[in-house]
Amino acid sequence: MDENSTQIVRRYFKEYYFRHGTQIKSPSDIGSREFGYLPFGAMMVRHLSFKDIGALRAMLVREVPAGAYCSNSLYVDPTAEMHLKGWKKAELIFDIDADALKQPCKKVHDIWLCKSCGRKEFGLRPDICRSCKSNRLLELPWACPMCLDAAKKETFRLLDFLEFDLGIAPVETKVYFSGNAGYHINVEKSAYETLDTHGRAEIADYLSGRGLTPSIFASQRLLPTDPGWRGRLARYIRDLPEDDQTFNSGSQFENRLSELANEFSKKQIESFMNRFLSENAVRIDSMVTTDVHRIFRMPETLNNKTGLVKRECGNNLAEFDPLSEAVALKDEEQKAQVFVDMCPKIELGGRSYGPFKSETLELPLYIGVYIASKGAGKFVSGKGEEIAAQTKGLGNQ
Amino acid sequence: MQFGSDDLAKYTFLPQAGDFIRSQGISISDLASNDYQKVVKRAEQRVLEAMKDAKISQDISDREIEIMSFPVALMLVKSTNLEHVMSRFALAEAIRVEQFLKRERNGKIIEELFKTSLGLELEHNYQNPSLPDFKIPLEEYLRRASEFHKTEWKLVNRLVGEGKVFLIQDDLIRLIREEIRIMIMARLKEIKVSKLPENLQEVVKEIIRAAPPPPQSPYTIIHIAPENYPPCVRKALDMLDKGENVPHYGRFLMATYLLSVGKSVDDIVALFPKAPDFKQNVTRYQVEHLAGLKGGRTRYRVPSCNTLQTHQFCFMDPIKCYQITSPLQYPSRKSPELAKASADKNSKSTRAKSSSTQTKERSKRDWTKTRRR
Repeated sequence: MDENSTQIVRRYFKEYYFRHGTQIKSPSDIGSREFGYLPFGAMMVRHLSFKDIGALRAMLVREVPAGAYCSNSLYVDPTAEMHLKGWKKAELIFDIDADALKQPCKKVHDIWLCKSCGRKEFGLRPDICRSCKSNRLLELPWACPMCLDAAKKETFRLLDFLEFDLGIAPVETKVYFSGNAGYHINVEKSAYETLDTHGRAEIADYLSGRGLTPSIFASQRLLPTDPGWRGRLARYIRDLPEDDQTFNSGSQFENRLSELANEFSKKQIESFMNRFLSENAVRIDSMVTTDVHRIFRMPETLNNKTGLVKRECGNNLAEFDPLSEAVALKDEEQKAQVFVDMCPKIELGGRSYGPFKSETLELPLYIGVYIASKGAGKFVSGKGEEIAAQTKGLGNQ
Repeated sequence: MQFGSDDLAKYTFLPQAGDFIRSQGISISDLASNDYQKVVKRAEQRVLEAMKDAKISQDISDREIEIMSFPVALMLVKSTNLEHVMSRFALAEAIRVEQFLKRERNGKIIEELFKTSLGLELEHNYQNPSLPDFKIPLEEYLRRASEFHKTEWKLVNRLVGEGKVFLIQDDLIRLIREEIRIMIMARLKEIKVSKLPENLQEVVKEIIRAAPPPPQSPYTIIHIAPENYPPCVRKALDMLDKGENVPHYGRFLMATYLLSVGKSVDDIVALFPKAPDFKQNVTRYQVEHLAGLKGGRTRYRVPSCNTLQTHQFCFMDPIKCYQITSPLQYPSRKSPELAKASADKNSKSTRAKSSSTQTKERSKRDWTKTRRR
């Protein structure tokens, strides 16, 4: 991001923390957690500790970081070097990223950029640049409402596993929109807090169905009331529509099971298993779940990739609309001049904008912040100070 | 619940078995009398079988003798004062218990035994006959099963519901065998034996004669100087040397480490014969598996220091292990003390440094680089 745009985005962040910082709640046992922040244009600062939430909020207003993070782990000494911290336990966390779900709309809104010749186009990244044949291509993913809907569905699938397979009470599970392209799920209290990275890796594999052996498919003992994957598989087989091409034996559950066990070739079982998993497994980023030394974006802080808030979805996830509820400062009157290099249609704050290509426009400030943070455009030079002056009651820092 | 004398004869490590013995009011000196000759004989047999065959016979027809001979066997083993004898005995007793448990028909006994001895809340599944008989908390399953590498032990291939894992009896018992061994070993470490009557002292001598001798030194067959091995690998070698039962992670570490520093499968298998449960073909298969020659054809990586800490097999040297994340990085290049020592050494020996020393140091560095690649 250019200097002028950074200055404007930073000021926007400062205003958010100044006005809404009190929304940031203290994590439990704050003194045992490691904190970190990413300053604008600098390296991550880690191994910090705050004795209370007031001190943390004051830091946010003072430093105005691009991102603020907190460990899901609790330590004896959170400020020590990693191997000396004294790990006590860690909440179970999950990250669902819309981009990984590879929705068909990606080819409409994603952008690729050739680092050799600078060619930039909408669509999925080709293997080589269409102009210069270079393979140094960069992918710039976007998340549209459809992508975020898919991520929400995946989140529901995860919540089902957490409750019925892992036995985690729903009241202990908090779901957050990440502020960019997905959802973060945090289990605040569970029997799994003291599990090491291997145990967590097993949980991640369980949810994603990794390592599931096809022998489960050859069993005629499957019952829809069975627990875990076995029950899921039985219900899946039972509920496939009558005209589904997989089975020749009609819609009777027992007949289908017998056909699967006795007549399916190894290859057919494999292909059926892949289909079953693609429709039933949860696609999570397993690195996030297994890493117990991570610092994770804090709820109600801003995401530097969009300028949106990482926001708790509350009790009604189905009704939660991330692209309107996560706007940090929704002021339609506060405008800015933005040069947009290239961006797909944006749906934010209940309205839609674009697509735009190489044009200068006057847009609400929060849309400008979104475009600049995504790297799709910049604030027009000279307007930074002007916008800065519009923000109320703040110094010119 | 009450255990019957039949149960106590099978599971002689239970605290209730101790109560039974106490109720008989026997003292150590009584063991010299003819009344307890059968008890002493059975205790001796238990230990000698463990030394010779690595397993213990399971005849429980004379229950009282079976119950009373266990603490006497513990005393005999402890009196040898030899770590590898204790270790071999603990494993053989654990295997004996495992075999009884696998045949145990009374679910309540298993439940109670898990609760009182292992602190593990087990549930018997009485409601649904189409599901396995037992369930244990999922986190307890993961803590134990992540030690096993076969796909059948992966959580995804288990029946999981409401935070519990369903298990058939055999799998349940397999899962906790190591813990029973550790428990018996802990009991051995804990007991204090006062002077034994003469007849028992003779038995102790007999046990020492029957025990397999610890190997002379495992290091002689290793081509790279053993002082360059990290302390965790040295600990595993040392335990094997003494004929002790090296825990799973120790074996895993040792084999992957030695493979990655260029040792052959044969070299590594040759280190194991003193292990209490050594079976040549099994060990060979396991090492070949780790080397990526069998099974999934994945060459296993040396576990990280973090993982070793998690599995309680880290024996950190604060200077030489400074800030390393893998045993392969040992000795630490980041350690200020080591850097200083090396700088001092260099400045002192600049003038008089013989070419052979230079070559030696260079080769050590080159080796470190190769390992890291």
